[in-house]
Amino acid sequence: MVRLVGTALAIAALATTAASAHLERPSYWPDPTADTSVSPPAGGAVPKARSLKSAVTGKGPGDVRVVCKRTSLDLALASIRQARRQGFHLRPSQPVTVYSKKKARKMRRINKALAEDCEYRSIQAAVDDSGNNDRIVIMPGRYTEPKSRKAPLNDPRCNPSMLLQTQSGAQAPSYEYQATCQNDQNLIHVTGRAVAGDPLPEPRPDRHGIPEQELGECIRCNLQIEGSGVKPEDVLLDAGKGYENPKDPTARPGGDLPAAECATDADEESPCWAKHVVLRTDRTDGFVGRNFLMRGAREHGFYTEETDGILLDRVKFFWNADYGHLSFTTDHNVVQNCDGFGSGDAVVYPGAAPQTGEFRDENFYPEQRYNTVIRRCDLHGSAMGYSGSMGNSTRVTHNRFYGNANGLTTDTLSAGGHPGFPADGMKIDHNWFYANNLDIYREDNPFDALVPQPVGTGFFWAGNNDGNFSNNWVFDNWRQGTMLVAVPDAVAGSPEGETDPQTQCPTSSSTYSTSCGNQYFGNHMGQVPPGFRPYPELEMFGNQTTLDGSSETAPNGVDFWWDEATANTGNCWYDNEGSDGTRDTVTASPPVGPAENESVPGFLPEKCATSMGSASGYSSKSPGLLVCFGLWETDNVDAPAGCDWWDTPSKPNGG
Amino acid sequence: MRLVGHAVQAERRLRPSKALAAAALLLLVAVAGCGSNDGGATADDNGRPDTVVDISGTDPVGPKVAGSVAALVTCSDWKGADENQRLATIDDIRKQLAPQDSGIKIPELTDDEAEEAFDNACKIESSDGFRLYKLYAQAVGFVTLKRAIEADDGK
Repeated sequence: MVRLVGTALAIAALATTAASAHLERPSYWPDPTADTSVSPPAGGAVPKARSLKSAVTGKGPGDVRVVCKRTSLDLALASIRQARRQGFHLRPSQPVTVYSKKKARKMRRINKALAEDCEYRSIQAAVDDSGNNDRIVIMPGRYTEPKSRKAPLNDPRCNPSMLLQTQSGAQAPSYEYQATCQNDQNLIHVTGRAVAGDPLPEPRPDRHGIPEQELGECIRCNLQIEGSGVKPEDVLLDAGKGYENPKDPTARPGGDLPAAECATDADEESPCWAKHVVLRTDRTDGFVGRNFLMRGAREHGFYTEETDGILLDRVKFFWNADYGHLSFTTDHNVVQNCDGFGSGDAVVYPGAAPQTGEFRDENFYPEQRYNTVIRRCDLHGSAMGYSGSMGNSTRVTHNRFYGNANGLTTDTLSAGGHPGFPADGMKIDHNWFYANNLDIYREDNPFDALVPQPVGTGFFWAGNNDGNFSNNWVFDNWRQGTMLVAVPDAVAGSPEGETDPQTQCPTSSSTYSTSCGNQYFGNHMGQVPPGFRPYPELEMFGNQTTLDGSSETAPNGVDFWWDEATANTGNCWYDNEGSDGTRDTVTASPPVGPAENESVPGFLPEKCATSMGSASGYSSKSPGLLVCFGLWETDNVDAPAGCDWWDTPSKPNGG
Repeated sequence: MRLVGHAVQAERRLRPSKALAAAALLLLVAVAGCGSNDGGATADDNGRPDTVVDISGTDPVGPKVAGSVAALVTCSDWKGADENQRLATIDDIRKQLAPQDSGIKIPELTDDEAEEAFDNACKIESSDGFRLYKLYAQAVGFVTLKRAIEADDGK
């Protein structure tokens, strides 16, 4: 029975962290080497953005297509003027940027030249006319793509003839479906490669490489789409409707309608959304997207799949009902300088990232590397700032997570549909996790929460091996600063594609194969970083915070929480400091040990080599976890001693 | 009760709610009381007859995208569905979340298990927008727990 308790608790602990399952065609990790059939080669590395200036000088490969509105130049000039006089915030947490006279003059010159070259009113039309190495420059304005909006969902040209029948009998749109009926679900769609042969009748268990028979030639590789405005909000790609003031970039689809009234069976009847995805790119090796805002999708703001080499820079994701950004089975993947809010799941979701870590297939991935990097983003005002399943070898650095129910979650629950089990090698460093206390389950939350999450959590790691959580500032999260739980294989289910036979968990042959070898070090817990100043978005949607600029400390409910799963090894917390800058004020469950740099049973391990879970500790945490997770299956939701995870916790003492 | 519909015939198993509740309670006792193993986890059908339901021709509830409602169906849709529609909805979600390779086995919820998971989750305040497929993926964890407990009970 004791064995079962262990299993049960790990299962329970895992359940609410499930970021998502994924409903899509069988996906493969693209070949990570550059495709030299085009020049310059596509993929093989994160692409470099070409400068806006080069779009008007003609420098560089490919043709330039300019998309504009009748008022675009006026809007551009007004935005430049404002940037020169008052400046702007690229991200809410960042200081104001003011244009120099020289920069303003340069931007005016570029936009005037672009206006003369403008030949398109529709972004989709410009995409359709583009080929490899081409560029699309979008001038300021709000782009609703009327023709795309008129394209029917479940277009009979493709549905059902181009739906794939999976082994389970489920149907999923094929690559050909997306390429042929590209605006069925998407406001704007970029087909990166030609449709070639049929998909394999049965998906290949080894997910390394898109099957040759269905991999067409590059037709829009190395494509760059960028806005020519001062800031991302100047170029608004909009899949929403029903705004009170549609030109206000922060306006909410549906205006003041309750969130629940947005969802209708028929898309055309929705008062809030016109399309499911704002911008989808499929097999678009070498894609660059820069300097625009994606708003108002019924599902996702940006979505890419099976792409090798992609850069999103200076992009925003507002009011996308599921994910702001979603990448799937995508390599050489960077999202930077981004900002997003209003997602019912997460602002960014890098899912099924390639297995490029310690236990990679060295024939396919010769070098160990991070395949996905999320950096310098403000991820806020959502159920989660970041979530990901099977996010192997991803790096999350220099971001700000605030005002969510839960700042960052990764899990291994959704193994089915996500190649790459078990997840390993994630690095989370130099981020700030603060004031993630948003009660998304209250009646008047402005977006529908799509998932259950423990409100008041900075960072929740469920089932990751060999992770690195270092040099972060974690403060003012009223439930837990960080949380680590084990995930047994049985919960994750049999994984999609082949499982790596190696794992960092030495106990993988028994119950557990995840949550081993994770190291937390150099973190500042319960301290407010020097120079921190509150700003309005911190309290967006009624988020609660103690951060008023008056205190150097802001405690978490508890800094480090670990389930102490008995079989797990190698998890360690060392060289972290609490609210007074010393180890003494770190709060933890289990508590910080009596001796520095040692792993003592019953205390938070600090020495990695001798760290082990604790049977008694693991068992002692069971009641709280079981109460919360048991609700789902025991018809006990309204029990007096019910789970409190769905409400913002009380402010911690000392805050 | 047996589900017969579309291309799939799935056995509708005995409802596990009380069994699982008992099991969860048992776990709590075990945790608090060092492994007591009495109070067996017995199955119970909640009074519903073990019958066959033909859902062929019944559409699942929720917006259909590319042949499936799984991506978008929510608690709100669930609450408004009748029994046959619910079974058709579960069938759709289950198929979508099944692995896409042959030879790979992932835990699946029976109809009763899925119904119970959705019913309970959809009672939470402001749960109308919860996506059922995400709840299903979570509940798969509990079904593993339930079966492990039942297997342990059988020893």
